[in-house]
Amino acid sequence: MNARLFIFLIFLFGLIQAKAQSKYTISGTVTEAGSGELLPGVMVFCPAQQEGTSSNAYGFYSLQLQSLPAEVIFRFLGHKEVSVVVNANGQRQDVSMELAEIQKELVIEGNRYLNTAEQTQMSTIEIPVDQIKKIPALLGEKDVLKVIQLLPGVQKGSEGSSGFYVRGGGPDQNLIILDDAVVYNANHLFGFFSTFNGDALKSVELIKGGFPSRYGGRLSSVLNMQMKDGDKQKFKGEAGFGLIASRLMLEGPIAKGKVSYLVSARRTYIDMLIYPFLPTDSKAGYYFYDLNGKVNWVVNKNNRLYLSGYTGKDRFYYRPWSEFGDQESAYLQWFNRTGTLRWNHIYNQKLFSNTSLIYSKYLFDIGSQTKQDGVETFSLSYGSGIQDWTLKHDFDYALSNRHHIKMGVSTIKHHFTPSAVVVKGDFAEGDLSGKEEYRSFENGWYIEDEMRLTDQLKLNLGYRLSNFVMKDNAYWGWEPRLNARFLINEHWSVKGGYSRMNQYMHLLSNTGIGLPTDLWIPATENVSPMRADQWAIGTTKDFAKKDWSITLEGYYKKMDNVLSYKEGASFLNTGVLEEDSDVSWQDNVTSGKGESYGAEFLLQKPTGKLSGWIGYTLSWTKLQFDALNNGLPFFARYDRRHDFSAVAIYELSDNITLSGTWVYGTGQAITLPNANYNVLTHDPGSSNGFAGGYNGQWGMPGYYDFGVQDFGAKNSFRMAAYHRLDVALQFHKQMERAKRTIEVGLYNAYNRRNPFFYEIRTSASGRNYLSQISLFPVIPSISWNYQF
Amino acid sequence: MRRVNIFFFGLMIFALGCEQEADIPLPKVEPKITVSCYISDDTDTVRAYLRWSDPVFSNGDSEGDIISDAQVVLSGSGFSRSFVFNDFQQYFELPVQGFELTPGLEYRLDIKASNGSTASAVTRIPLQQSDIRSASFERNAEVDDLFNQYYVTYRFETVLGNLEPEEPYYRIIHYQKWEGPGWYQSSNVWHAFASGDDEEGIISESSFYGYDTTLMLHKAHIIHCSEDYYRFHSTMENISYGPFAEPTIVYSNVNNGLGVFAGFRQLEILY
Repeated sequence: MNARLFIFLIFLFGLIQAKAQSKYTISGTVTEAGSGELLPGVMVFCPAQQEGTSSNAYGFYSLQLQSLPAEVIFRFLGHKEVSVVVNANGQRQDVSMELAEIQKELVIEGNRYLNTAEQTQMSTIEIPVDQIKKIPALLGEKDVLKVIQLLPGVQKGSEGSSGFYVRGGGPDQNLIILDDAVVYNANHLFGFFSTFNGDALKSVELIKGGFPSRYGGRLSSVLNMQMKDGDKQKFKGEAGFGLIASRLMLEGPIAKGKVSYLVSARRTYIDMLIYPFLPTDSKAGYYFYDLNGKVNWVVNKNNRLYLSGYTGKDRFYYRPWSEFGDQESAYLQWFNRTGTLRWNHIYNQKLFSNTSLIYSKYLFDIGSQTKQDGVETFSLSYGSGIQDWTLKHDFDYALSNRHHIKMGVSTIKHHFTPSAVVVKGDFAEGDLSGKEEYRSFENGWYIEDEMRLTDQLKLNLGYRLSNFVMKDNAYWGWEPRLNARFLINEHWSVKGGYSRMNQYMHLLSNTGIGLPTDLWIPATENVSPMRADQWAIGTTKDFAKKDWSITLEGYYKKMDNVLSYKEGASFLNTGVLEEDSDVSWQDNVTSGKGESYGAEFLLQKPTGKLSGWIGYTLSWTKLQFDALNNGLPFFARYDRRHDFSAVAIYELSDNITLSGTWVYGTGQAITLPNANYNVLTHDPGSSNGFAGGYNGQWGMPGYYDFGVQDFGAKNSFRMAAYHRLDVALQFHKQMERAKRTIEVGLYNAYNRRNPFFYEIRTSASGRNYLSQISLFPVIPSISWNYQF
Repeated sequence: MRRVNIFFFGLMIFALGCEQEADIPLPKVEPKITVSCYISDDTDTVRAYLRWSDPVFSNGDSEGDIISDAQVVLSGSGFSRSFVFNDFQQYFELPVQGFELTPGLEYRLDIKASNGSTASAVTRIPLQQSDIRSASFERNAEVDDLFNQYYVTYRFETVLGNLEPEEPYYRIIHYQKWEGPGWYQSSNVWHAFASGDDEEGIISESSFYGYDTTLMLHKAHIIHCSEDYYRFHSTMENISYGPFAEPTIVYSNVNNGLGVFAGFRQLEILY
């Protein structure tokens, strides 16, 4: 049967079902009691009539009932269950849910709080933000991305790095969004810390496959983070003091119950720590900061407005001591900025919309300056970056309990600047500048239908049409998406999914670990967009009474037009100043294809006295480029055969929490030289023979002798396996006005020397050996946190 | 006291995180026979330059030694000839006498070293000569923005035919001798590679950008090459020693060895 006809029949079947059920409808929003935070993913169901739905990302739900009166139950992890009796059709039922005290009230015999098996969406993991705050971290700095790296199917780049690789995809293939805004570089301090301050986050969700059609633009994952809305009833705050950074979060009402705000800030003081050790006339240092802000206005019961933003910056600076009158200085910095203006509107009981205007900017900048007697005589700056303006409009239509439709449209105006140089000085022509820039539009239209065909079988069927336009060049992408879930019993399901993704931008990277020097570049006439097809199948079982679940998934992903630097190329090779330069980034890249396949296991226990998870991934990731490795397939640098992680959080008492993580991963695939050798290239026009100039003799005329390294095959060598244990103890104390938590932790508790990189060195005896450079030994940390 | 505490904390971190010899099994690599041998229809003496490769993690006993005591045999359609080692020039040579190197045919090189190591390679001399449809260059002088210097650009365009049914692998090598300001004289060589199946012909564009000079000589060698030749030289061209440069996997068509045995045909253009 033709695939399109098949999909049409499924839609038709769903519509007939929807038509067949005349209904009473209730709708509304679900919020957290007290703070007024909207709660996404709340289960809303009528047990007597076996009807149910869940709240959307903005807390809105719509449920249809067969008869009235009816008891409707609202259930959400970490919150007390709410029961409501509905008497009238068209009833607007806004619900507030109180927080449960985790240990005492949540684990109730017979209640089912986990609904992983029930969900249609596969390859998706939600991480409770509270759990992130309890997991040990480097220098005590809690980090969302480091926690993401502990999940199955996700690999980290190198020691300390926040870059992550999902199911064989590169770090550029992850769509990282904060309140709908794309964050292009989520790293501080070259990746040792991420830009996301957990204090400001409400939810963190990672999608690795079976992507709903509302997401597009990246091949491998969606990391969707929502900021808190800010407490609408009372002023609250949280402050933390660590060894290298401090942070502060404040939230509260501007107009009680109507308008709230949230402000969160974090800054390092590494520059202040090293300051005493520098010569008095020199200045050097490094700092980063984050600043999040959000204002949330409940205009009326059908309209809400949000304005949120983020800005974060890293800066290294250096001003050496100078004997003469001139002063030199140099800097390296990068920053992200995002802003989101969002309008939620409820049209009627069934139709909800979200409209967003989004700004996002990332810029990397390096430069130097010379001043003579306080007057600038020379300055040079090099920068690369990307800036987006996005407008999107999404609809959420609850046609029936069996038929939930989402659709929307988005357009993004990209402004890529892979390289820009400005030179100021005493030049005859004045200031000089060279800039390579590209402007483009990326558009998307989608529709998806979450349909319950039978009580056992649910589908999420969708299409996304994407489009990328730059000058006269346009690309179109048809992206079918399908998720299916078959419920074997109430707690056990089998799931399958397929998705096609197109990505119209690439990240050029020499290191592959997500450094700020990596360049964002668009698809062009010569550089095609990336495309991936992913199939996944799995099974999920919830052990409700024990409050834990097991998921087992297998996947196969095929990627086309993956981009890489050519052999011998680097980001330093790109020409900028010469307009007619024949050295453009496009000359330095080559495209190929890749495949990744594997199996993932996850045992998850999100709540209780003992919580955490165990994850294991067995995977293979191979790439093939005609212009690399003589056209032969090779393992990706981040190919990792085995990846294991265990995360445990144990509440020793009401006042003490013990937590630990242990990770193990097969070493990264790297390229090492096997041998040195000499070989002749053909040089027919030379009058002298240079080749074979052995012991001072002239050799073969017309040839030239070169010393070359034999690397064998690309990425054929494995670094040593990576493993590490982190532990932390948190001591909580309820004080008069605040709850204080002191955390002591050990990063790399047994001082494993994990390889960061290798170098070939020669001993005094002339023997070559492989030297391993390790980064972090055992590192103790202590931090203080206050919630008030 | 505060300074002392911070200092010791920093010292503890950086003293413990350190460099050490890697405790992992290294690849066991034996020295390999490295071959450099090119053949063309106009070759009067075939030369084979043979060396041992020098494994990086060896005890240094091979040291890239010259191979002088191997049996080296070239065979083709109906002939098989052994090379003789030239002690003075330190390579093997085989005069083309009593046999012919014929365009369009395959040739095989076999090497057997005295320690029993063997290597072999096969290549083909292209059937057709380069199909040069046009060759031109233009000179432009300009002031460079950055350093306020007077610069000159030579832009060369060569239009080449597709050479069907053969693979159109071309290498174009430009040679220049020029006289700069004052006494300075130098020469310059650069390469361009071209391949494709464009019916209109393959256009190779290359340019030289340098100080204002007096051009004394410019010539180009247009080489129609075998795939082995093309892939070897194009990967050699990619080698870069920059700190961030990607490693280059140099092509080799030598079984059980390294280097290249490659066929080609060439024409010379004097501008």
